Amino acid sequence: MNTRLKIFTAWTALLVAGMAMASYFAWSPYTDDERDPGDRTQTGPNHK
Amino acid sequence: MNGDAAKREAASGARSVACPACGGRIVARATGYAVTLGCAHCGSALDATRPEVELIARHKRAVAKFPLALGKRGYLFDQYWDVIGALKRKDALDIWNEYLLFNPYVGYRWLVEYKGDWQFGTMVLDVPEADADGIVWRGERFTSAGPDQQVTATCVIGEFYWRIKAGDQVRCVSFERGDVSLSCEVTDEEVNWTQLVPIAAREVQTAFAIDGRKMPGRRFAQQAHAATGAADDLLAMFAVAGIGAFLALVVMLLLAGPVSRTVGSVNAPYGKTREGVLIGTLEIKRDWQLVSLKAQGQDFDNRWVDIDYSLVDRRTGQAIGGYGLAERYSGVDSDGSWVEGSRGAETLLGHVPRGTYDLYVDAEAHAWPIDATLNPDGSVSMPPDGSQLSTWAQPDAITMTIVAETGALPSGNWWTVLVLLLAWPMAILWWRHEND
Repeated sequence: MNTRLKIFTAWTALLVAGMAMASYFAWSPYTDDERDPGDRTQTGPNHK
Repeated sequence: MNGDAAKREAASGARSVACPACGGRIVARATGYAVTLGCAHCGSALDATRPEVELIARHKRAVAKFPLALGKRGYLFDQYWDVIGALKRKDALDIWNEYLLFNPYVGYRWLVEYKGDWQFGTMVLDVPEADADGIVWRGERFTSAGPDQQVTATCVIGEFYWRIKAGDQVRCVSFERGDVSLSCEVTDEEVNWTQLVPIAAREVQTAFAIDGRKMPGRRFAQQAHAATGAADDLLAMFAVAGIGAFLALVVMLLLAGPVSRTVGSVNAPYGKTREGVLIGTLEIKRDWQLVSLKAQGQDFDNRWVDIDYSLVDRRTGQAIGGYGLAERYSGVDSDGSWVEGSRGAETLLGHVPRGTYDLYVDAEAHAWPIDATLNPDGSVSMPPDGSQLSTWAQPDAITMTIVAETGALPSGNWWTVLVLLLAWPMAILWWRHEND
């Protein structure tokens, strides 16, 4: 296993660990609970 | 020099001189033709036209190693050739080797080696004719192989029939027809054309008995092997990325549950907010869980529904808020009918702590493009110019079904991990593709 592959494997392990942490704490950057209330004004079709 | 060597040189017509710079012995094989001698020991350039060779440019550095050594004799194209000179030359992009071959009965020829590929060069005396599309030589058309280049000699050793030293420059342009090329070199004094035909590296190696370890082709074969190793490395990276993505999926599935679910509905009135409708109760059974809230309406068009969620902890009374928007529009224009949006809305609440929660919903419906006015007595006033909007602005209540679930999967997290995993090998793949 060369250095590049070792670094990539470490990167993969870091991401999987990050995924485990995020899953345990039920965290996601895509949750809606902190959405900007200003979004509510963005209604109506975009069709032109 | 001992007596036997002197006799052999005298018999072959070669002349031996001492380098004025380093004292090294230089054998001039093309006696009477050579104009420049390059010392094979120190790289100095010498004037061979004087009875006693004269120094043109002194170099103390060790001369570069050439795979094909000076003085080698080889049999190519039915003739014996002595390697009498060697050049390293470069242009803006590449560097290559040129060897001057000499046969006293035939004259001079060239061997050109670039990245393990070899060409045999013969000077062309019948100059090609240029036309708009390239050149014509001996009735055959050759097309340009690229713009002309400034070519610089970076190392000169051996003897040459013209005056040359390291640093000399020529303009060079090449033309191709199949695997044969014509090279034109232009200096202030003259224009030289050379025909170059490919020759197999193994043929050159056999002809001049070159040690296989010194052959450039072998070096590049090793590079190719290294490239193959990189390809294997890339496959391994994709494999590692696949395993990582699978593990991330398993981790996400294992840590998301258990699932608690409640279903209810709310009538979202037109033009006013219905507040505090209890949908149901959810139990968060882990330290933290994601909660998914899905709202789905039926048969509404050109309307949107605002939904505010409040997940109220029974123990503390603290509320976690969320917002959903279901909107759907349709119409007809010159391109035909169109539809936009969805009657459903999905909201994801993160980091909800362990506990029992009541889900309350506030909901309000709207029409597009403008709301009608709902009077206190329940009647509806249309906009003054809104007769044409009447079909879109009819007041009613839109029933939204709400499904709340704990243990939701943060699929966005997994897709993000997948992108971050694949970015590296994909970047390498792209880089290799761009540089092939």
